[in-house]
Amino acid sequence: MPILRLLLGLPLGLVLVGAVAYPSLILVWHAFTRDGRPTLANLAAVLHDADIWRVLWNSVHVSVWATLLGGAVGTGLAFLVARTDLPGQRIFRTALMVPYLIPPFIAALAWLALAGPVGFVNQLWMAVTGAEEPLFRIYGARGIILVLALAHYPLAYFTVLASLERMDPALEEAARSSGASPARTARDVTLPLVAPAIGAGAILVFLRCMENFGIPAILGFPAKYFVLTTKIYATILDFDRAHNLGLAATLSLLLVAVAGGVLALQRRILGGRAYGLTRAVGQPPIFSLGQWRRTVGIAVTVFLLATSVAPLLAILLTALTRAYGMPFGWSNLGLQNFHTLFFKVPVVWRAMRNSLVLAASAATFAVVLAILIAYVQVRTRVRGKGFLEALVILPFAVPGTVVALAMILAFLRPLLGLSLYNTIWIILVAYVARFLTLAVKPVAAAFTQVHTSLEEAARSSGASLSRSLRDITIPLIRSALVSGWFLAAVPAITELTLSVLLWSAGNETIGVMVFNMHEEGKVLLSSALAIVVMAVALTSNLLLRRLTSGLAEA
Amino acid sequence: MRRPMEVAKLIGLLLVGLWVLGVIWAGSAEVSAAAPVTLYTSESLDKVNEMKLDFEKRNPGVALNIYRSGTQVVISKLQAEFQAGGTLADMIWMADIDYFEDLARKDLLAAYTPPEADKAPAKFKYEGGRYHEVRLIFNTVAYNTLRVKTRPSSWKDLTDPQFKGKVGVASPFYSGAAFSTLGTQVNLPGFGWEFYRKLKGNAVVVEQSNGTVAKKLATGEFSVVSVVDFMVREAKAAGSPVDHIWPKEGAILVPTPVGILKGAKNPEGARAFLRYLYSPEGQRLFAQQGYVPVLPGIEGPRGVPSEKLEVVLTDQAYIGKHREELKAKYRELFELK
Repeated sequence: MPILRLLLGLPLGLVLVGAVAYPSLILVWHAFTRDGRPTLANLAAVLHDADIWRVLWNSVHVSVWATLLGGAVGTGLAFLVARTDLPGQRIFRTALMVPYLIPPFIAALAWLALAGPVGFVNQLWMAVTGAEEPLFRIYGARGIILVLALAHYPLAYFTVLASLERMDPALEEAARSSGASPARTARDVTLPLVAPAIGAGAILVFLRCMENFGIPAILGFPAKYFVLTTKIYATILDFDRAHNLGLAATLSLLLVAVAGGVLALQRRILGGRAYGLTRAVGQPPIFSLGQWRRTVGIAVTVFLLATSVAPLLAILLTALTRAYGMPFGWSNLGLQNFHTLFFKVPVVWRAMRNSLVLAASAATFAVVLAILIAYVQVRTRVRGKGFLEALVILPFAVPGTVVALAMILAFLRPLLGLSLYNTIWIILVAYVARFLTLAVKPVAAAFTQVHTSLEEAARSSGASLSRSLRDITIPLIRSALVSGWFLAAVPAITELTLSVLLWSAGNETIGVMVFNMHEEGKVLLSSALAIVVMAVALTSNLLLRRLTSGLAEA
Repeated sequence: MRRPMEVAKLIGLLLVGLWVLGVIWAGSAEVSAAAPVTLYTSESLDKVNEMKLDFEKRNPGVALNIYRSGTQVVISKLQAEFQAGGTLADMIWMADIDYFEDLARKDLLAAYTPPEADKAPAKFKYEGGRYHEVRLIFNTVAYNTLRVKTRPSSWKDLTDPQFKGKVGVASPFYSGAAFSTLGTQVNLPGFGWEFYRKLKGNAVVVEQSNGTVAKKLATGEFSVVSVVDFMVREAKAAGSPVDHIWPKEGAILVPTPVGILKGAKNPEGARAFLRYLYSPEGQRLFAQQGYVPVLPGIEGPRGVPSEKLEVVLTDQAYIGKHREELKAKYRELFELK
């Protein structure tokens, strides 16, 4: 019995200490030491640097605006879809999934193809008006805000939509039957009830914007516009600068502090305001759009065409372009970029293999660990459970750039004779740490639904703990295991933020390939590869939805 | 409907199987080829990969592993690895000859001169064969053929007022080629800082990389630019409306040396790759990719003028001594941060 406990506990402890606790401590250690001696020099250097304050301001500036914009769009769309007689609702519900499924850095590349300095919009504008200057400058703050908002509004949309659909319809009905107009009902009943959800959605958008690396990297570097994540990236790579890793570590703590502060603020403001929203019984009343119905329908359609379809079409056309700079036309279209990609650049295949293997391995590790963690969380009363939970959530709660830096600092030098740096293992360790919590959630939820009496019956009939786990518990939670596996694997396939700092010769990921090709100025090739990545992302997500919904019904 | 147990076992087996397969697969690259040759480079990704395929085909059993990024990123990675106690790289190949000089001074480069290399001009073998110029890149003047009616002929055309605001160059802070050009021209009779002041007067746009300059030349955002030659030939071959000239004052050679590191894990394989780069096959592939071969007798790429070409060698001695001063003056002149 104790041996089994040890067998279960040992790998769990090893992973959580080795992949989470130790790197976190090393990160903090590097922030407050120089050459092994404790000092506040890094902190002082960061706080006295006017440049850093500007970068911090940039981070907050773009995130706040993107949150306002994305939050408003997401909330508005959720209300239109859930509470009005908007035509074509089912199509919109599906279409609104699309921006959610596209990796943010791919969205940035797509917007570059559409609205970049020589993107289709500006080319058309200059051709039509004869203007010498582009209509819109996508490099810099405004472009970053736009693409951040459009990449993240689905988070606000989903949160508010869920709240609207759970709301007790009787409340709105009561208002309406007491003579309140639809607008008044919306203002005085619906809005206050979903306010916590709007706030939660906005916080989610804000945090994702703060921690995003791909969008500010692609749209910020050319304008020399840095936010905290890209500044940390640049500082890590700036080895000419003395103590660059220590400074990057200090910047990381600053970034974590800002994100943590926002979370704490949210708890304080929204903490006591969770209204008793029951599961909806019956249909909630629908606000009629009346004579505006068609106009609003057309407006939403145009919005989706302009923000989802147009950028994707633009990057697809770029990927199919033969010669850059020639006028657009059939004769300038062809598949040659894809041909170059697949037959002349063998590293593309290896990167794809690496990404798939990394995602599958990380997800498998994560699910196995998730079983142990969920078991401890739900079934035992050991002390330090809260600490365990914190360790699991931490690598997902902090920005990916910070996780990558912690991994570099922890594993740059061989540790206990094991050298992880410059191998694929450091990426794997980072992925397991980062995506573990995604696998734990469904598994822990499934554990709570399996009543202990089943296990107890097995145990009292003489089955060992491992036997009862194997024969009773695991079969009952298998659908949760599968969905946990996919939830962890899918974001890992198209991951960029961690791998861009951790890759090495032979260990590149597909996200890194797209990013590097873009950095090198290979517009046509990077667009073609972005199309491939998008296809992989959409397929794996469809698979995920098919599998999880299929298993949930079974 | 199968029993849940069987389904669970099946899924479990599948997961474990997939994982084992994956680990074997991921590990296989390192296992099958005992020690691959690892190259850290800033070479064009697609070109160096094409070269890898050809090299591996001609040298069965030797695998070439490539880490490719911008020159500055590659140097940063090397520096980090040296600090941490050793790099994975066997060879390096990039556009910062200063860095090679520095490594040679620290005795970190292994001297090796393949037999074929002796046919190349001696000036392209540096420090007793510690690093080599295996093919030639030049900085030249290029123009957009849809925007520019009369073909330019000189570096001075970049300061022609008719192109005001439509002139692009790469930043010497990012591009090794741009830095070599700057350091050479400020010490060249008839140029000097005066030339750069005139460029500024012509509202020149300083872009980060040569790739971006070439891209924006193709789209017509720029009319004339200073850019490395092969990118223009490549774009022209693909059908873009661009061409480069051979300036009458001479094109500037941009050093992009290759060297083998001491302590390479596969020194024999690294030497084989250097031999390949100098081989007629390697040199012909360079020409096919648009580079000027370093060996005499190999036909150059299409689009290189056939007459005797004026070449200005990089003023390495001056650049080495005035590195910081050059950067500071440039920064001040163009008000870069």
